Amino acid sequence: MPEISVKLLSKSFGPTRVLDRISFTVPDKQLVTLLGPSGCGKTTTLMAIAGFNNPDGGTISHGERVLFDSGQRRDLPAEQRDLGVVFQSYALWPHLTVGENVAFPLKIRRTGRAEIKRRVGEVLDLVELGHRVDAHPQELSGGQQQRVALARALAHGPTALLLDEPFSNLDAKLRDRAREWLGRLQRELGMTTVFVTHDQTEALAMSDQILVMNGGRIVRAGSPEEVYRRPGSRFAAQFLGRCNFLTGSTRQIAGGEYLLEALDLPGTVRFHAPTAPPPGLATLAVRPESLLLTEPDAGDAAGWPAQILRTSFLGDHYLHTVRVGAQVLEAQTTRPVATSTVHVSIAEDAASLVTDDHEEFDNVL
Amino acid sequence: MTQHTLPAAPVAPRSRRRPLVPAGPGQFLVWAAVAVLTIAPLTPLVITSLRSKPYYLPGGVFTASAYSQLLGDPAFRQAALNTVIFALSATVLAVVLGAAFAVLVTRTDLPGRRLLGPALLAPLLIPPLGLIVGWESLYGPAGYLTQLWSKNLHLPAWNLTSLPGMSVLGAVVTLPIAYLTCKAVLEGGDGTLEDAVRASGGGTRRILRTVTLPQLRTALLDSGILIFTLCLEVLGIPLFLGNPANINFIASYLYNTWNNSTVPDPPVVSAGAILLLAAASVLLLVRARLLRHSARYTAGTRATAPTQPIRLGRWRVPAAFGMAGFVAVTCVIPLLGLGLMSSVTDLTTLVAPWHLWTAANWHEVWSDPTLHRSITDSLLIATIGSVATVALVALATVVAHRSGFPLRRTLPALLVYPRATPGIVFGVGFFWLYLVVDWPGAMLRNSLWGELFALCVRNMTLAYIVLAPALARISPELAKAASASGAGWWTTTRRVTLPLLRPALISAVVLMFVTLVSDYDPVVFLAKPGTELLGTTMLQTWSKGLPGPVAALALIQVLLVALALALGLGWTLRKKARRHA
Repeated sequence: MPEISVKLLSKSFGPTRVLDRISFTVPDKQLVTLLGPSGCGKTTTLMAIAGFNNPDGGTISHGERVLFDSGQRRDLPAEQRDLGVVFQSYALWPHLTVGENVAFPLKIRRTGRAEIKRRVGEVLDLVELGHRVDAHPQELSGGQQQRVALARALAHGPTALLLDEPFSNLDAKLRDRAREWLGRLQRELGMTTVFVTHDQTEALAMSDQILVMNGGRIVRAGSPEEVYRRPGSRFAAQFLGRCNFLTGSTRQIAGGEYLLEALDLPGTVRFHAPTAPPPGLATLAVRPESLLLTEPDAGDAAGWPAQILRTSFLGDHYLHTVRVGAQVLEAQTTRPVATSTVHVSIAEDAASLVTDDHEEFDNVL
Repeated sequence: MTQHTLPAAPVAPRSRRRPLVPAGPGQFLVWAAVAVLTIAPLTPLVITSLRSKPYYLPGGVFTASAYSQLLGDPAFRQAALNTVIFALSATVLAVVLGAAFAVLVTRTDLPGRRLLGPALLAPLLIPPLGLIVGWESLYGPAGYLTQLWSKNLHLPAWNLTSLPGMSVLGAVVTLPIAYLTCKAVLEGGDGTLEDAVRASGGGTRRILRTVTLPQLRTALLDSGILIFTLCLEVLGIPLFLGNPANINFIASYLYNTWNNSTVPDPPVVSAGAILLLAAASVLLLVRARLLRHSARYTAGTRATAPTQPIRLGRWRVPAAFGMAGFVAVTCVIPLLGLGLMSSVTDLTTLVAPWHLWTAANWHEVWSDPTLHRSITDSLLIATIGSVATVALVALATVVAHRSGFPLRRTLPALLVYPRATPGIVFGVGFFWLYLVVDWPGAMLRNSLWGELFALCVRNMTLAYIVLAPALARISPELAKAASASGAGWWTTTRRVTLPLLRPALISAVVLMFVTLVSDYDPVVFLAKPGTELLGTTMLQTWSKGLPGPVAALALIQVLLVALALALGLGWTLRKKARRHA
C-alpha cells in the first residue's frame, strides 16, 4: 500500500482561502487524521485527494501515480483514482441491496460473476455483515450502514482508504465500539488511511499521526502524544482538550531549561524548550491533569497556596476551578479534595511553550 | 480477529471499461439539443417581425413597420387594453380567493379540508378547453343554467361573454397557482408564531392580521405576477367567449389576424408575438428581482404546525359549504354540462334534455375522419412526446445539476423559459422555423412531428420543475460514491442517479402526457388538414357552430387525462404498498 503525499495544496472559494499551501505525507500502512473545527479545510483536503474538487495549486501523488498536479495540468478523474472512500452520510444507494451496493465497484470493473459473488461475501464477512447481503440499506442500523459503506469502499481492493467523519452519525456508545473496530481492521489490513474528524477523542484514539488544521493550514503535526502534550499553539492546545495558559517573562537557567515568571502567580514555572522563547512575554500550556492539588495539612506543602472556587464531578474524575494569586486555573483530580484551600504545583515537565494565536481560534468558533 | 489480507480484486483492463459515448461530448450533445430546441423557434420570429413582407416573398427589406402598423391599429390597442383589464381583475380575484382558501385549508378547523384542498386543484388538471366549453354551455348567454335562471326564474342574469365574466373564468383557472404558493408558505412556516399570539392573549382575528397574512405577503406577490403573466397570453377564453361579443385579447387578435389576413402569414403577427414575449419576460424578470431576497422574510426555524387550528366557530359549516359550492360550480357542474351537451341534439330549457337525447355527436366523433384522427393523433403525440421529453429533460437536469460540464449553468434557464413564453409565440416561432430551415423544416411542416416538437419544447419546463427538486433531494454523495467506486458519468447517471429519480420520472411522464393531450396554443398555426390535434379540432369545430361534437371531444380529453392520472396514482400507491409490505 503506497504512501499518499500532498504538496503545497491550495484552494480558494472566491476571496476565502480554504487551503493555504498545505503539505503532508501519509506513510505506508499508517492512519493519519486531519483534525480541526468545521471550515478548517479538512474535508476539502480529503475530497481533493478523492478527486471531487480540483484545487487551485499543488500536487497530490499516491505511490508512483500522480493524482493531481496543477503545474502539469494533470487531474485524474475520481473514478480512475482507485481509492476507497467512506462518506459522512455513508451514501449507500437505497435502490440496491447490501450485496449489490458492495458489488458495484466490481461490476464497474467487469469482474467475473463468480468472482464478484466470492469477493462480496469476503468483504461483507470482514465487516461482520455476511448474513445481511439481501437487505436494503434502510433496513440496517446506523452502525451496520457504516460497515456496509466500508465494505463497498474495500470491495475492489483500493490502495488507500479515505474516511470522511464516518462516526459522526452514530450515537456516543456505538461510536466508541465502531472506533475500536475500525482501528483494529485498519491495522490488520495495513491500509494507508486518511481520516477526517472534528472529534479530538477519535483522533487521539485512532491515529498514527494527527494533523491539526485551522484556517486552511496545518498548525501542528505529530503523534497523538506529541500533539496532546506539546500542542505548540494556543489553538491546538484548546482544540485537543481543556488547557490552562500561564503568561509571563522567561529566563534561561540551563541548556534547554527555562523559567517563567508568571504575571499573576506568586512563583515561577520551570519548563523545557528546544529553542529559546522569543523576547518579551511567553505563554505556557498546562493540562488540568498536570496540576497537582495537595491539601495543606499533608505535610509536604509544596506549590502555591490556592482557593477552590467550585468543583464538578464528571464520573471518572473531578474538575476543580481554583484561584492562585490573581489567576483562575482548572485542575483535575481522580479523588475528591476535602478542604477548600489547597496547594497547587505543576507536574514535572508538563508545561509546554505555545504560540499565541488566540484570535484565530475565536474567529473559527 | 485473524490477520486479514485484501488483495486487489481481478478487474478487466481499463480499455474494456470505456463507455460508448465519452462523458464530455455526450453532455455537450444533451446541452446542444436543449439549446437548439428552445432558441431556434425564437430566432426566425425576430427576423420575420422586422421584415416588410412575409419571409418567402421576394423584395422584403428590414424595417420596423410591422411594429408601427401593429401599434397604430386601434383594434390592437383595444385588445391590449382588454387583456390588461382581464389580467388585472382575474389576478386580483385569483390571489384573494386562493390565499383565503389556503388559510382555510391549512390553518383552520374547516370540516372536510382534507378533501376540499385537493379538489381546489382540479382546474390545473381539467383540459382548459373542456372547462371553457363546459362553462359556455352552462353559464354562457345562451347557456342552460343562464336560461333556467333568467327565463324560468326571472332573475337578473350574468354575462359570461363580457370582460368581468371572462375574468371570473380566468381567475378560476389560475386560482390553484395562488392557492399552492400560499399553502406551501403556510405549511413551511413556523406555526408556533401563531401559538405565540394566542399565548400573548390575541384572538383569531389578531392571529390572521399580525402573523398569517404578513407571512403570505411574498407568496401573494409571487403568485400574483405569475398569474398576471399567464393571463396576458390566454387564447382559449377570448376565442370561445370573447369572439361572439367582439371582445379581443392580444392572443386572439393575433390569431384572428393570422387567419383573416389577405396576405398570408403577415409580419404583424410576428411583431405582436415579440411584444407579448417582451412583456412576459419583463414581468418574470421583475418577479425574479423582487423575490431575490425572499429568503430574508422566511423564518429560519423548522416547519411546525400550530398546536391548535384557528377555530371558525359558527362560520365552520357555511365556510365549508361555500368552498364545496365553489368547486361544484366552477368544475364539477361544467364537467357534467359537457356530458349533457355531448349527448343531446340541442341544450335548451324549452325542452327537457331527455327528449333530445342523441348519440349523434359521439357517432360523429367516431365516423368523421377529422374528429377521429384528432383523437388518435393527440394520443400518439402525448405518448411519444411525454416519454421523449422526459428522457431528454432528465438527462439535461442531471447534466445541469450533477456534472462538471462547463455550460451546465445555462441549462436551467433554457429549460424554464419555454413555459414562460406565451404558447402562441412558440406557435408562430415554430411555423417560421419550419419555413426558414428547409431541411428538416419542410418535412416537419406537413407532418405530425412538427406539432410534436412545438408542444414538447413548450412544455419541457413542466418536466424540469418536477425533476429538478427531486434531484436536489438526492444527496450528491450518492453520485460521488459511484465515482469513487470507479463509475464514470454515464454509468453513474444510468445506474445510480436515474434509478433513484424513478418516482419523479413517472410523475413527469404523467404530467407531460396530461399537458400534451390538453395543450393547443403552440400548434394553432401549425395544424393543417390531416394533422389536427384535439385542441385545434375543437377550436375549428366550435367556429363552425357545432358545440355537440366539441363537447364530446372535450369529454374524451377529460377522460384521457383522468386515465393517465389514475395510472400514475395507481403506480405510486402500489409502490408505497410494496414498501410497507
